[in-house]
Amino acid sequence: MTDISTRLREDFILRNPLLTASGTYGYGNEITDLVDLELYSGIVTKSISLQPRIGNPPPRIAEVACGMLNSIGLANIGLDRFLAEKAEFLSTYSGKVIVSIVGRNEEEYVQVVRKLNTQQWIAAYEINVSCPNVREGGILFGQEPGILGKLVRKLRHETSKFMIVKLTPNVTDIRILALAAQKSGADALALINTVYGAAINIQTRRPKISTVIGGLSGPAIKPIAIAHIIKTYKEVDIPIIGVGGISDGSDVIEFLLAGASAVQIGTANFYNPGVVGEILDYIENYCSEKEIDCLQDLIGRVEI
Amino acid sequence: MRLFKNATVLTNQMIGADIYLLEFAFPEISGSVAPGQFVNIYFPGRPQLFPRPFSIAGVSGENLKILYKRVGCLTAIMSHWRSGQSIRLLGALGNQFKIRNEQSVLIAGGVGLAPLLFLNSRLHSLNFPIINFIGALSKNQLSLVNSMAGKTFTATDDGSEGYCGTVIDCFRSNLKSIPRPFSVYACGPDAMLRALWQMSFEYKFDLQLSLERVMACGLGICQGCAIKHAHQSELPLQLVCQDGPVFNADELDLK
Repeated sequence: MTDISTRLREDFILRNPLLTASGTYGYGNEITDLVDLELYSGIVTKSISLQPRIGNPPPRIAEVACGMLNSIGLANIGLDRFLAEKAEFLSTYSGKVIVSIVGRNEEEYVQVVRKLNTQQWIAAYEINVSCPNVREGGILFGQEPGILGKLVRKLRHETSKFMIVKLTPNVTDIRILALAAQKSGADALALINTVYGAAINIQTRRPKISTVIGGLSGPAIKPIAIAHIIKTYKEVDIPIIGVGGISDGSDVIEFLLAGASAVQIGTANFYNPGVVGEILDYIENYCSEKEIDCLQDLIGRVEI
Repeated sequence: MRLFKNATVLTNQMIGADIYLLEFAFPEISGSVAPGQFVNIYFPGRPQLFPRPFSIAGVSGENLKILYKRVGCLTAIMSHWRSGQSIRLLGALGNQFKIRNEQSVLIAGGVGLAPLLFLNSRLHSLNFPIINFIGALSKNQLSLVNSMAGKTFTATDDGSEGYCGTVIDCFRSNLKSIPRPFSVYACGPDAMLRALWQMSFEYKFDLQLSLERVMACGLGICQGCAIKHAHQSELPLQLVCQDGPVFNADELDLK
């Protein structure tokens, strides 16, 4: 039997490398009748903000070649309802509960973390500084190393919980942001959030989503994610969680080879609800075929 | 009940110009599905990613039927399916028509006939009086009309059968003869539904509409199929996949 667990920190071990990606699995309790959440080693929730958010006006999504364009705009039930309605279910989950956090300003991020800190069932935070679809409290924090560093430092003072910073690919050099996050106390990095994209209906001449420009996800962006991970892996000392266009088990192996210690499955949850089980089967077969005893041995082992 | 599974195509018949009726076994849900609900069909290839939602057009024993029109590359793939083909499905999804015990009026445009075929047979089994208004481009897309219970008016764009014009104009010209109170159930293109939605306030009749929107998941997870709610201060947005696809006219803002 291959050991498929992965260690992100001495005291933060995932039983397998598979997490859900924020915004693609709700709050975890919506589709338990269809998918066994226990197959994942952890869930990353929809991004939670201090106040509830309605999100962006419709239309919010479009299908493009091998990808999905979205502009949901961080629609979420807000911190209070999250705790009131989702804690009971999430506290029974045997995997890691990773709460994605977003704020319009530093103070809002701080307040959300402060309130969540008391909850024992929360294993980690993922700091969302990379949503391309809202002006405030998304990507603005993730494109300037100074602003990002200041936010991460502030949050580091607030919590000893494991802290992941999710970065945007919509920058000139992602390594500068990765290093800023690392220097300011991040425990891990998630690479990448969605890529800027747009599409136009040629009959109506209207953009296909209401905000004109949205975030591209799905298999179309996998090579972009792989490139960013290969570059960043060489520069940072903290683990990378790979995300962007994973659709099957072979993609997961590719992310590990590029330098990811774990991965997140996102858009594939939409177009293949059975994806997590299929990936686990693939990894098991791949490892036994290649006589790999420990999945961690693959991390960063691309031969360049 | 929702189930993600492989099913086998039993029949896939072309029943009119580019219109197909697909039948497959889905015994786990065939006894519990209701008119208005839909199933997702998954396509493993690329470049399309999203599953495609199809209203359930009928149940026979353990089998479900869907009605589809060949328009893009995925429905072209579907049109080549033969008996024995394995397909990946998820269902049943969405809400259902709320059946009212009064004169029922079913209004369908094009392949929007699908959920109303199922509703028609359900209403018939309840012995409720039914009037159908069925619109299509041409006579060769109306072959299923004969199987429907109740009185039927047809409308075609080319005038090859029934009323020459839209199904909405056909309905409007017969409005006075329909015994009140009546409930209207409708599905079809957006322009048709918008016209009907406006009429329901003008002529004061109860109206339920089955909507179609682009969906990435069909499960309420992606939040992509959100539409405006009529009472935006209470509930700004609602999801077509989960809160719908069937809505009361007074829940919608189709302006």
